[in-house]
Amino acid sequence: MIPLDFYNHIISLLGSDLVLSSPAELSVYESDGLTGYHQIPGLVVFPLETSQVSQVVKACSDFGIPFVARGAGTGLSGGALPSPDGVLIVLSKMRKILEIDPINQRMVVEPGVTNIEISKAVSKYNLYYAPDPSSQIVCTIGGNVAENSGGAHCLKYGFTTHHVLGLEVVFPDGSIEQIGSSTLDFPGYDLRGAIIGSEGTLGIVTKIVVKLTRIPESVATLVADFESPEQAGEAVTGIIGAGIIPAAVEMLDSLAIQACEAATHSGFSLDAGAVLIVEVDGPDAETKFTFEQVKNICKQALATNIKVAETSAQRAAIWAGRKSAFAAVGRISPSYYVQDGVIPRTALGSVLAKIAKMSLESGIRVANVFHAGDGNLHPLVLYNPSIEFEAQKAEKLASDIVALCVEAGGSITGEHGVGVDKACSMPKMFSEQDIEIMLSFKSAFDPQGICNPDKIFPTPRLCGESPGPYKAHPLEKAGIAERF
Amino acid sequence: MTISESGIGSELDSNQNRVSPQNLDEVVEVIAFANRGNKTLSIQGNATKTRYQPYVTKTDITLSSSSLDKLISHNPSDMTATIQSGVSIAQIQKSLYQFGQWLAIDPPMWDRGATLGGVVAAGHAGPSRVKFGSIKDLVIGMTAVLGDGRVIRCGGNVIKNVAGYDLSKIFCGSWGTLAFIVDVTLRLHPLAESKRILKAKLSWEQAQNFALSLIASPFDPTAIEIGFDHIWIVLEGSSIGTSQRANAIAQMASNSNIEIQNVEISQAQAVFDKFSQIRIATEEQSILKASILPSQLAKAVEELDNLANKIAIDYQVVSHGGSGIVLAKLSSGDLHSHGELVKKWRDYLQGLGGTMIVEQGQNGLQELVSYWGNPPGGFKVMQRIKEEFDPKTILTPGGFGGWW
Ligand SMILES: Cc1cc2nc3c(=O)[nH]c(=O)nc-3n(C[C@H](O)[C@H](O)[C@H](O)COP(=O)(O)OP(=O)(O)OC[C@H]3O[C@@H](n4cnc5c(N)ncnc54)[C@H](O)[C@@H]3O)c2cc1C
Repeated sequence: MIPLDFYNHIISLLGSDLVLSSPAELSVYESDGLTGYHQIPGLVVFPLETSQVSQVVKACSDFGIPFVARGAGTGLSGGALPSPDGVLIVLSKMRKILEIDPINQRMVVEPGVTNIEISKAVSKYNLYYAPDPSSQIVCTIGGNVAENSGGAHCLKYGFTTHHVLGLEVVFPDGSIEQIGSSTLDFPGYDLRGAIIGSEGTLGIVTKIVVKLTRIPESVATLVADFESPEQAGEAVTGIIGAGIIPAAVEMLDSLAIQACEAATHSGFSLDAGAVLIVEVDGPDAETKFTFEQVKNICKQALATNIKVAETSAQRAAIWAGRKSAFAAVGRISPSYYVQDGVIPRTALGSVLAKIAKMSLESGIRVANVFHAGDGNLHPLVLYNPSIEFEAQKAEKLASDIVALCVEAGGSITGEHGVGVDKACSMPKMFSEQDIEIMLSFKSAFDPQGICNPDKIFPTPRLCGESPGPYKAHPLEKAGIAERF
Repeated sequence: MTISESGIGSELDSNQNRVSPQNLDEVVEVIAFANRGNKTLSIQGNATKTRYQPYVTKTDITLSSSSLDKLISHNPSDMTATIQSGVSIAQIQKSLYQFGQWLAIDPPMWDRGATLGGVVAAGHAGPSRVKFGSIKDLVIGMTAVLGDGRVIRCGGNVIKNVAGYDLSKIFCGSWGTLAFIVDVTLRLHPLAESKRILKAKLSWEQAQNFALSLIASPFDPTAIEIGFDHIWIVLEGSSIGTSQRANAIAQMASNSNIEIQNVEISQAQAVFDKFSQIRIATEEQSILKASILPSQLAKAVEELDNLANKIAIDYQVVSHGGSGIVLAKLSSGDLHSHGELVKKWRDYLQGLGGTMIVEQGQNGLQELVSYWGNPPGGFKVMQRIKEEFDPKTILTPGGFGGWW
């Protein structure tokens, strides 16, 4: 519940057009992409400019009311889950491109601009914005900054943090500060670097200076079949060991291949134990040379078949096949969890073997889709909710897989963030003191604890609950984007 | 336990308050000791950057990383390594070269003893920044001991990881004012099979524009160094790839009537040494580092030239082209004239939206001008971070641009 005097104050600041308060309207915003969690916000506001964000945040600070930022709501860890007694600040109406500087390869945008809009606006200069989350058609750059989002090409090109130079931030007391700059160096602590990936818990980003990247001269893509994921893993190790940094390396295991083929007939070999999609890009001559090397390494690693994309249409078909994996799994299982964990690439063989064993023991099937180059694993844990206890078993397996990733020296999340979803897994990776220090860091920004509270860090209240099953995001249902 | 009862304590007693802890526990012990006795601490790696830090007051204890000298782990196939802070960058590179890998950075003094901890604390970068970024882009995890003695392990061992706050970013460039860095986990890169170096004789304006056309091209330079009347372009990759790119660049240049020459790597070394000398100053000299947009390079240098002529200072200037980093060494002139040039050039650069810091100043320059200029955006939050991490302000007092 929101106090009436606070509500009246917000209306006096923004006018009623930019404020939602009826239960029906509010319920639209009860979840982000992690639909298993929902919470009706106390109030939803749609600021049009930084000063309005600042006024609302200042009001929250004065009244001691929590607030949560939201971009497009595609986040998969519940980062934009509202506070029932708080304000949800939706940035989607702040979507102006403020400045394009193709010469210096910079662009200044508001947070509600979508990831793809940035690239579209500069493609005529042969430039693009490199981080390419699969949700890029809808997710906002503000959300990308909050999650330090990456995409299939981040092994070579890096994450949001490598492509954002400066930020305008409204801090939790309502003050507006310019952090970083459009030039590379600035004196002082790198607040920019800490705010990127902080999941909206340190302030609200109202302006972003991004660095643009030259579109590569050429791209080459192949699909290689292997008898087993371990063998495909050998090929990946061979490629990296040869000093090649491919633009992307993706792996599907046999169950994922079956699912894809059932759905799209994209030409993956049904009898392969694993397929590897390898893409290299760069200057023409380098691409040609490297691509030959990649082919040879795949052959040496006993690839049973290698299919090269001869045209850009064929390349698109391969990626469409790869990206259908997720929705396709829906054909072979009524329900499933999507997990996001990271392992050191070299642990691939042993971790996959353990996952297979755990799957066998629990009777729960797991399909593996994998950003093999950077070790980001996306196991799909399949279950049938109408079978008694299967959902719980699947949930347990999903969480055991995350524990396994940490044991192997990896991380509980590579791109979906911690949010509410994995707050209770943080102690698997960090000591009590690490977490305490992160909390004292937060309090330097947010001494009142009102900025996206109850996210990232474990609380007794949070860690008593269970997440509930995965539901398809409307984007996925509409076939606009895939989850990984 | 008091510090003098322990092993590290006896070291503290016998070495005039200079201690070299051998492991994390000993670092914790020293910092806890300092907290209990309200003693101040300064941090030292290989002392290549003491002149960057004129504001640091004399401290009760010098905490040296010299015994934290181990490469803890290197996983060649994962291309990551965890290394203690006292290891020099040169040593790191030497051990990685054997595996065909390197830490993709060439920061100032890297071949003259700069340690990993020092480079991280300074947040440094070098010529290859245009391709690989700065040290903070390569750090994936870190163990550090805060000013209050608490230990933080942030980040992880894998290059893709978004769990928790990325606090290593805050420690990169914190100049020892928040934490003592014990070890760092790094992303590594493959050594290229082949390297080509090109040069052309150009004015500053031509060089600026050529650097811009290089970053707009698909030819992916590893470094673009501008200075001493030339632009120098480093290409790395396969031998066939680098030679084709070199040809394409020569073609691109000839379209603008620029003549490109190939340079032998051995010849280029002498020139690059000259470039890196820019960052080594005597006590009478000052080194300024400006960060501007790459398209403002010629203007920035022209203004520097005007001011230096007017004030009668000899100077040298070089730039990491494409990155907008300009390094100027004021090689003659008295304190007052250095102060005047710093103020005026800084005003000008700020007008262009850039920043400028004094990296190393003629002795006493810190009394005339602020090394870091105006307080940066988010200053109050930075202050509160300092309060949270080092509440007794015992770590490197003065190290944060003289503000704390
Ligand atoms: C189908 C699908 C595919 C996906 N694929 C990928 C992928 O390939 N790679 C990847 O990394 N992620 C992926 N995601 C996850 C998600 O799209 C990203 O995390 C994205 O960055 C979220 O952006 P958003 O605008 O939807 O943010 P939201 O979901 O609205 O918010 C995410 C977090 O950011 C905070 N936030 C939002 N805006 C701001 C702001 N202006 N200032 C401060 N905090 C803010 C919120 O409080 C919340 O904590 C995918 C999601 C879906 C549904």
